[in-house]
Parts: sequence; C-alpha cells; structure tokens
Amino acid sequence: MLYEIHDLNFSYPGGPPVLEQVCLTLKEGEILTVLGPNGAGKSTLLNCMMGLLPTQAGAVRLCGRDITAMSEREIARLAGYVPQNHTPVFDYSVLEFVLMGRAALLSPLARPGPEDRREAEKALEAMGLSHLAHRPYTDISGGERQQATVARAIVRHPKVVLFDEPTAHLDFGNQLRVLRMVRRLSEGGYATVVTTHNPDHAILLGGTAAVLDRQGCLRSGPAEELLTEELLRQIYDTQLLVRYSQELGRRVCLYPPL
Amino acid sequence: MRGRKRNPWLIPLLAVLLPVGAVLAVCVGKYPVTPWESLSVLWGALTGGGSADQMTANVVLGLRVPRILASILVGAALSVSGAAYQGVFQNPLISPDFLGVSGGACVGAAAAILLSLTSGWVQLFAFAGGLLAVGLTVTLPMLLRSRANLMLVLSGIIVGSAMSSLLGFLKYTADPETQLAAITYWTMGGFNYLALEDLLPALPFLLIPAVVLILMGWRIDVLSMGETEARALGLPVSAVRGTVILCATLLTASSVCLTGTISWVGLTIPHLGRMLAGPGHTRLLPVSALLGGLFLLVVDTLTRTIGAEEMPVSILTGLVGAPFYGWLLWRQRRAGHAL
Amino acid sequence: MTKHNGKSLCALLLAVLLTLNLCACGGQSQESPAPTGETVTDGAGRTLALPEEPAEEKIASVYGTAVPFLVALGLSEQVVAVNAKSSFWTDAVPALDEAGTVGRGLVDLEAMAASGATVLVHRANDSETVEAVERLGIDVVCISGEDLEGIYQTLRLLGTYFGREDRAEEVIAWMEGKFETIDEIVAGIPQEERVTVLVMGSEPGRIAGGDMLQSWMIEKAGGISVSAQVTNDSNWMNVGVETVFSWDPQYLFCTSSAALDYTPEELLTDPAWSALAAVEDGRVYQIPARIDTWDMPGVASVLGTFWMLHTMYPDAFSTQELEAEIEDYYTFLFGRTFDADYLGYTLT
Repeated sequence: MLYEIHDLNFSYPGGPPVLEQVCLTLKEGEILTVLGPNGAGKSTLLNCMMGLLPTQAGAVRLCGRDITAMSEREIARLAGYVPQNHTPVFDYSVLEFVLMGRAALLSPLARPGPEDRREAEKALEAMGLSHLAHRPYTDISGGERQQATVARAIVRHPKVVLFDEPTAHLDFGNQLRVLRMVRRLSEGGYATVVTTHNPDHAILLGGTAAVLDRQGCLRSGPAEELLTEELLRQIYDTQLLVRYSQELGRRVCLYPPL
Repeated sequence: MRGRKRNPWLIPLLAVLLPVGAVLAVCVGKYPVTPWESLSVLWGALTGGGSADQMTANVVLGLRVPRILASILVGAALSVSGAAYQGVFQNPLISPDFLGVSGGACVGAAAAILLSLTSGWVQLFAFAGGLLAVGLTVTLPMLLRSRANLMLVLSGIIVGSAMSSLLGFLKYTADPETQLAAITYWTMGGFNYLALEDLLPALPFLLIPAVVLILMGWRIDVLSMGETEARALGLPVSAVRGTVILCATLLTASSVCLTGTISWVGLTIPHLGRMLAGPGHTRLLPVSALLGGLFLLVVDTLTRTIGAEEMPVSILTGLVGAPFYGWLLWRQRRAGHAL
Repeated sequence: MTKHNGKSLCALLLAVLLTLNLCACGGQSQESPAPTGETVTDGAGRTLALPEEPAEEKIASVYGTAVPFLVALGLSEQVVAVNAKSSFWTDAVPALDEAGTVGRGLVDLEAMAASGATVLVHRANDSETVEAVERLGIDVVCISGEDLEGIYQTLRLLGTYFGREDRAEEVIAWMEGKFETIDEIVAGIPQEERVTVLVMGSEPGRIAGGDMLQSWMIEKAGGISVSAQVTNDSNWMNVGVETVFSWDPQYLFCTSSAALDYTPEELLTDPAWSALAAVEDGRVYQIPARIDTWDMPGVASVLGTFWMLHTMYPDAFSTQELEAEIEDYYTFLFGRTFDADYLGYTLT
C-alpha cells in the first residue's frame, strides 16, 4: 500500500476546517482522480500528501511510514509533485531544470553526475522534449514547460506522482495529451493522483475517484460507480448529466442544455 | 534564442585576467615608481631581498598590495553573496544588504567612532552590528511564525529602516568637526587606510563562506525554484537556506567592516555573470567572484589614480554600476529574457 | 567539468592571494624605535623625536586650522601640500599657492608619499590617520588647543619641532602684548555698562558654550557671555532657539569659522526674533572676515577680540583704533595689508 491516510484533519491557522476526517488509500500503479468544487481543498490535500503542510490530526502514511517522521529527501524519493503553476525566474535550460529532480537522490554535498544526466535525458525523451533540452525553459510554451515539470518529477523514479490541476490552463487538445500521459505513466508502474475540475476526466482515466466537498469530507470509490448524477449535483450544486455512451463503451459526464 | 553555448574558456580566462590585473594595479599609482621597480619590490619581498628604498617599499607593499588584495576579495565576496541571495530568494533585484547587514554594520561602526575607539575596534563593532542586524531580520519572521521568503524580505526592509534611523541619530549626536566626518567617510566606503593587519583577520571570513557557497551552488539552483517546489524535490529547505544566509551574511559583514558600504557590486555583477555563464549557480558563483574581484580592482585603482583627490569607492561604483545595470537590463529585455 | 572548474579556480585564487600576502608581509618589517635624544610632546600626548634638520622638513597638512600656525611661524616655504580652509591663504601666501594637496579630511597616502612630505601636521583626535601615515614612514605632529593656552602651546610645539623657537616666542609676545592692551581698555569700562553677548554657530540655536574660544574672547573683550555655564567638551552645542531667547543677549555674534545656514539680516527681519534685545537694537553681527576667520584658534583671535571690544564698546575703542590694529596684525604676519572688501568685512 503506497498511501494510507486515516482521519486526516487540516485547517489553515485561524480558518475553518479544510479537510475533515479524510480517509484514503492508494496502491502501486493506481490512478486516483480527486474532484471537488472550487476552494474545496484539493490542492491542500495534495500538499498534505507531500508533507508540505503540517496536519492537525490524523496520519498520512507513505509506504508504511508516518510522513511526519520522514525528511523531505525521504518523501521526495517516493513521491513526485507537479505543481499547477510555476513562475520561472531564471533561465535554466530544460535539461538543467529536469536535472533538479534528482536532488533527493544525491547526498548533501554531491552534485549531479553522468548517471543523473542520463536519467534526465531519458525523462525528457519519455515526455517528448529531447529537442528542447538546451533551450532556456523560459523560452518554451506553457504546455511544454508543464511537460518538463512532469519530467522533473519522474526523473528520480518515485512510486507516485501527484498532479495539481494539470489540465487547468490547457486547451482541449493539450488536456487530452496530459490525460494520455497520466495513463502512460500508470502503465509504466507509477501511481498517479490527479486533481481536476472535470468529472469526465475521472471516468476517462478509470481508476479510483475521490470527491471532496466544501465541508472537507471525502468519498471515494471506483470512478464509474461513484460518479452518479446525484453525487455530482451535491458536489457542484448544479444538475449535470451522466449518460452511457454506446460508442465509447463508458459512462460520460456532460453539461445539460443551457 | 537558441540554446546557450557554455563557453569552457570563461572561467580560466577570468582566472588569468585577475592576477594579471592585480600585477598591473601594483604598477600604477600617484607615487612615481616605474612598473619595473614595483615588480622588483614585489619579487624582493617574496624572495627576501630587495634593494629599493624604504618609501618605495612602503608604498608598493604597504599601500598598494593590501588595497589590491582587499578590493579583489571584497568585490568577489559581495558578488558571490549577491548571487547567492538572488538565487535563494528568487529575486534578481536584491542586493547583499537587503537583510540589513550594511545598515547594522554602519551603526556598529558609528557607535565605535563615537566612543573614540581605534580602527580595530571599529571593524569589530561593525562586524557585530552587521550580524546582529541580520539576526534581527531572521528572528522577526520566526516570532510571527512565518517561513515564507516574503516575510524575510519585509523584515529586512524593517530592520534596514530602523538601522538607518539609528544611524541618523548617532550622526546627529556626533561632533561635526571630527566624528561626523569619520562616520560619513566610513559609510561611503573606501580602501584608503587599509593595512595588511586589518585584512588578515577578515581573510577567513572572506574565503571560507565563499567556498562553501560555491560548493552549494547546485542546491541554490534547486532552491531558486521556490520554497514549496524545492521542498517537494527533497531539499531540506530550512537548512540550505539558513546556511546560504549565514555564509552570505558573513561575506557581506566582513566586507562592510573592512571597507564600509560599497553599493552596486553585489547587485550588478551577478547579472553580468548570468549573462556570461548562465543561471546555474555552480558556474555563476565562481564567475561572479572573478568578475566582482576584477571590477572592484579596476574601480579602486581608478579612484586612487585619477583626479587630484581620492573619491570614496562607493561613489564610483554607483557612477559606473548604475548605468551599467541599466544597460544590462536593456540588453536582457531586447533578447527577450525573463529577468 | 564544472566541478573541476570550481576546484581549480579556488586553488588558483588561493595561490595568488597567498603569494601577494607573503610579499606584503615580507616588506612590512620595520618598526619605529623609541625616540632617543631630544623629544617634545605633541597635542595628542605623543612623544616625538625632534628632526635633525628641521629646515629640511617638508610639511603636509589636511587640517585647515594648522595653516595659520605654519604661516605665523614662517614655515610656508617648507609646506609641500596643504588643504587651506579658504582661498585667503593661497592668495596671501604665494608659497602656499604652489603647494599641492593630499586630500581633504582623509589623507591620500600615495599622493602624500609622492609629494615628498616628511611630516604631517594633523589634528589630535584622529588616530586612524596618524597610524596610517606613520606606517608609511612619515612623521606626524598632532596639534590641539581650543583656548589661548592651547594656542600658545601649539605655537611652542611647532616652534620647537621645526627649530623656530625664537619666532614662536616672538608671536606669543606680540599676542600677549595685544591682550594686555585689551585688558587695560576693558579695565576702564564701568561694570554697569557691561553687555551680555552670545556667539551663534552654523545654525540658529547652535551656540558656543563656556569652554569654547569664542566665550573666552567675549569675556576678554569685557563682555558677559550668557552661555558661560554650559559646556560641551569644547564643541558647539545645539541648545535650541528657545534657550537663546531665554538668555536674551544684548549682542549676537555669528561665527565665521563655520558655514552659516542663515544670515544676520534674516535674523534682524524675522518676526520670531524681533523680541530679542539684540534684534531690537539691531545688534546682530557676523564676526569678520569672510575669507579670514578672526574667531578661530590662532593668532587671528587677537583681531577677533579687538573687533568684539569695538563692537560692544565703540566709545572705549574707536573704529580708527581697530583699523590700526587690523593693519598691525596683517603687517606682522604677512608683511602687507589687505582691503576690507577683499577680506570681506565692514566696520561700523
């Protein structure tokens, strides 16, 4: 079991509870899609899973160990994180940028060596960015930069990759590419956690879906089973349609007529 | 813009230019001595001989050599600490004294001058003042339980302002005929009365932290991704940031206590370094050190050779540095870089 | 490759620095021996050995106050670099005009070495400069002295050091004679007619306290210094304008030893100052002269005292008598006289 989360409680200092008694598990190779309305706390959940935020109660266990007892290095070796936004300040090359993902594997004073470079080049290849290796990463498109960020997360071969709203600012075509990439990663042995606004993505990706409501409560289950019209109406406060498509062979989530 | 070519000759070239520049600088100055004489005095001191007259030896070895050494070391120290700070705080617009080092050092020096202490004590007070100011800056966010970079920057502004006011108060109580002038000269920065005895105690503080920072260069790269991402990448952010701040502060404090505040070097040279060597700190830090040393060496040599009266170094670094900085920014905008 | 660069760079840098370090260490081995033979104590309490050939000494100074002393003792020809407080000195003394400069406040050490100076005359409370100059192998004589005793001591110190003891005594005797004259005149002024006086400095509210030369001059000239009881280590004091009002002196003298950020005329026309006794009677003056300072520690303090005497008690000491003394002073020191316009003063 990769992640075992028991009764996780979190609130920002002086604020209302964001996560309330959240329970979650994640197996190796599993895809977990996290849904919820704006401000529900999806990013917060990811941050807690990365050990970036301290929790008030409950436990997050990563590969059997309590995450609060682990150092940043130990966590990063097991989990990779792809943030929603990255504001570049300095113009590192794409290769240099991806190379930074190896930090967790190096001893405190060591610097990346030839093996690290090889892994970085392989990661770039896997993401289809080899031709951009020496370009400044400020000089590439937003979508390419996101792919580079993914490469940076997988270059050290963690067990799980957490994506914070990877489809948020992308056009339709790029959204599809990202979803395909997540599927590929899963097939390559990585577990993935993806937060998204679009319930259809959860169904498309298959795997497990988890729904976080405004009170901070989480429900999870297999995507096709969990995402009923009733649940979606509760979560999003609007009537959405869930229909079975013969052609696609799966349930689809659609907007109703305007 | 195509991928940047990493010129493998950059560092060796600079590493050669620096000693060459130093040797040239030994040969120029207001005291009439030919280059050949200067060099033979140097050689004589090295080999334990030397037949030059006492005054020539005094000028070359007692005046020029300490200044040259100090200007190289201080230029390098300020540049390295500036580059490191800019990386850690992801802000290419900050200078080494944004945490209040210079302000604190000036207050320390002013206090020592008011107490009529000798120059050794002034240096010590300045060093302590600089460290105390940074300590204050770093403690404020801890009291507010914030680990964010922004909090630290704001704290630096607060402490810096407080130091300014304190300095103003001390200047007000100073005797305008003697002490005020001394304080003003000190804060303007200069290598005028520097002797080797002043430089030696500062040497470890100028060299060791610089070496540590250079060794940590790659980790500063990771830190420049931002605190959250750096932590997610597995970097022990607090430890690395703390070490960088400590080293950079030691560099800046010891520079300031030797020669007063010298502005623009720590801000401009890292930019030039980035233009020539790229943002990777493993290369940027040594390149900045060499460029900074060269720059301050040239500026100090100019201040002591041109003009009838010696100008405080900070004025010249400002006159040269500010337009140079403007030009750098213009070049970068044109090339379409992010800052 | 970057690892290599970093390490080899560090090694190279260290090697260069250590080499230069060694050079510098090698050359710095001379120490100054304790002075034997004839010595004199200077204004900073240092014991100095007298030079063997005082007439060969080349003098440099960045301390403006030293200049009048050097001129009075006839040492102008030996000055190679000087920073005079005003153009008067370089105008009046051709030898000074030819001298260069080695800085203003801070000494440009290399320029000083180049000037061939063998001795620096400097103020007493600046140990940094003294150390730096001595490291260069050049002697330093410190002078200090805010009051008359201090002036005499400085004259004697410099006289002894430069072998001009006779001239020093001549100047001191001249000054003492003048002050005796002033004493005699003041003795004849009745107590009821004595007036209260205050000397103001570079800004309103900044005054000369009881331990400054200006207060001494007031008392010597028969006036009553309202600030006699406040002292500040022989420095100017910011007592504030209200204190000045509360003292309400009958005469207000503005110093010419510092740049004023106001003028006597402004005070005379400012409504806030109109209640002051001195302003009501129009008795606000700037101590002469514009380019030669008569209230600085030095021989010119004689003139300053005469001027105060005349301004406060014109019946006891007339304009003509003052003009005679002015002429005598300049003739004694410079061998010639100067126009009142040139110096920048007018007599009432």
